[in-house]
Amino acid sequence: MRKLLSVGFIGVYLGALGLGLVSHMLGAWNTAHPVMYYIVWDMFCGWSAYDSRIHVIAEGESQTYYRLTPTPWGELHPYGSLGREHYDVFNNHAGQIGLNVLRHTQHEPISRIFVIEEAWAKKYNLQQPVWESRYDDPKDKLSYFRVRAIMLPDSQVTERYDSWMAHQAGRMFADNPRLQADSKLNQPVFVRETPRQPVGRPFGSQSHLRFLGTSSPSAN
Amino acid sequence: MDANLSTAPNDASSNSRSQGYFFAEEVPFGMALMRMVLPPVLLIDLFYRHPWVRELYSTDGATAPLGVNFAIPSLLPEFGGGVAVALHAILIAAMICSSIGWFTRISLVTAAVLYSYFGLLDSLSTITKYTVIATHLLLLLAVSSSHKIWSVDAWLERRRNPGGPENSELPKAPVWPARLVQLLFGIIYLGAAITKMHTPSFFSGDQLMYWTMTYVNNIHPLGDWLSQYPLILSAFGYVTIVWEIGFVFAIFHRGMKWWAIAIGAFFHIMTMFTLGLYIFPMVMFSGYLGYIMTSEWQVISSWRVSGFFSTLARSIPQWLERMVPASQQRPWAAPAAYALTLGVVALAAVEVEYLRDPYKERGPNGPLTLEEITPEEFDKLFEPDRPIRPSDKLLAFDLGTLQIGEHLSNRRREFKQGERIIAQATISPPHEDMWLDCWLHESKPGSEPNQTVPGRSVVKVGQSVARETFRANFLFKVDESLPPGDYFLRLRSGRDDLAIKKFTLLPRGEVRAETEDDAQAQPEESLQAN
Repeated sequence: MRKLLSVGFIGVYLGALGLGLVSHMLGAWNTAHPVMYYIVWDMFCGWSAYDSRIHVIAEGESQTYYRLTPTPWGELHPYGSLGREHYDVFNNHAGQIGLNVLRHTQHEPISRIFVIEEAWAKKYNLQQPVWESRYDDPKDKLSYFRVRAIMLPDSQVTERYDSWMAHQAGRMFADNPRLQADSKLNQPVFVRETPRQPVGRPFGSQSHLRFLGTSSPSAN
Repeated sequence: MDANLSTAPNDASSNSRSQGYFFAEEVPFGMALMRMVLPPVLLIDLFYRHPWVRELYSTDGATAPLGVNFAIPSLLPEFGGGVAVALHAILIAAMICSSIGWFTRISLVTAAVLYSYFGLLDSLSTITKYTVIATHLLLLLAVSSSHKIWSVDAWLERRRNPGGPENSELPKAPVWPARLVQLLFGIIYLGAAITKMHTPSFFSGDQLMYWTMTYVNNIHPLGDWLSQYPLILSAFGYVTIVWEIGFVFAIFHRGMKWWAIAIGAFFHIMTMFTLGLYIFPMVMFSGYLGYIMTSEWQVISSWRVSGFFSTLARSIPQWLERMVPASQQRPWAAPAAYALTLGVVALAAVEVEYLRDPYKERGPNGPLTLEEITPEEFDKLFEPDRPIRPSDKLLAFDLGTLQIGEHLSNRRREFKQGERIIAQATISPPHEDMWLDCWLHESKPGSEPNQTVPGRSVVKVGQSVARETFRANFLFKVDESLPPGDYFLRLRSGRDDLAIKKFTLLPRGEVRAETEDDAQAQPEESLQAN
């Protein structure tokens, strides 16, 4: 009986690992359920040329704006020197972090919460000696900002936008008069179609599609 | 394979071979070592996160369930702050008990369940691939017989059964849990290789280059330096993927097994210095301990350094015997002590957490206040949407003479007359279809002493750069028509300056003659300037 159980466990365990491997190889079912995160080994899923940080800002009824992150009681730096909101690559949780800060602080009535992404070219991350050895120009870091979500204090999300990178990629893709003209053809006059846009290709407009990611938030 | 060192039947049939592979009986040295080492590694994270349990894992905080990313937000129940703190404390206690081998199986199951639970509740700052690997290892430890040696359980068992086998006859158990650990690692590496195959521009080194320039993990002192040499990163990429694919095969070969593991250890150590991954390598090293089979442990135990651990292994039971004499042993004492320990730890954690007041709500002025942002910060944060600045699309502008793959292998600032200069612009994605111009300028004295600035332009070459292209090369043959001295190459996109690079042209020395092969090796888009 004991051996039978062992054989069963070995079979189920290796079967699960095999399923994860095949699923990952084929790119199918790997986002079907959170349990797939436990059997799909996608540790290196790519990195962009731009760094990104998240700011959570609250707007008071007096039109005063407050910073909700870093959290006022001190924040956890889970993998280095960044707060956890910066690992919210799919923009699903940063607003909740802001709401939690509101619950545990004293403040005027709040009307809206903004989740704002900051992005900059990663070359500006280089330490100064490394920079000087390769570049003749001085470091001139420029940050770009983009509102990713607007929430009400009751946690209702009123607006949600794609990432700065996806927005820029879509903007460049759409910078084509023929493409723009084609996209405006055959639009009905009274009924507005809301076609499902491919994820990550939002043509510079907001995308309400949920990103289904299996990649680790820190890709550790 | 090590099965011939075990008690497996020596049968030639494949069924018997697999029986021997999984069900040979050995002393579980490797699994016991893993049981002792893995929990302390995981405790680093657990202790670090414990002060934030209420915020990370409770309804009184801001959980970030992994299920939300999979459109299944209510995958697991969430508890209030006090319960979460108590459960987290029990998890810590269970990890410690697992490591010392006290009620090992219960402790390991408790640890595996709670470790997964907390991970699934926090996809931002808790669950990562290394916590997933650790969960697999805890599960496999729980079904193993790792408690049979070097554990409190083993010591208690010997006391309960003094007529049992002597120390020289250590208990044996089927090796299948260790085999599953070994196969798990092989499959993990194979999966990681598949990921790299799926990742565009992995083999060019570009993805690795951007990773080494990323600061979302811990400090990685080699990262900045290595990011300047994408050719090296490209070579590492190829070596890594070959090793990842070969690992699962190499570990079955007696002569290659430890070489494969040694390369793995080196690879993981390098991820500390180049990518800032600290706990991940330690988890993997803990897992490697599961590869130690009986015959290998016999070799290790013959090393001089192992004498210290042997002495420790002998002295700890003697110390325990003095602390808890056998005469005081009661059948209910151990389970009661275990349950009491978990209970006390949980209650103490709740009390300490209350006294700590993690949200600082009971301070002299009540809850904390919010920090206002300045008008300057407001203007920055809520700036109108703007396109990427042209200079930000350029990662680097380098000069050299030799290109290997896509990369310049010899970046230089000095050239001799007669040489051909490759000016390489590396463009960061995303970018639109671009037209780039590269201007060659003479130098002229600047406003400051010994300063030179771009003077009269000598020549200009241009080319289109398609949106999917990462690099553009401009070729200049600098012959005697250009006198020795300082020159500048200026990269432009439309009316925007992207970069400028100064170089020195030296008199013709021993100049390598241009061969026909060289001419054929030039990229199609390269243009001869003069």
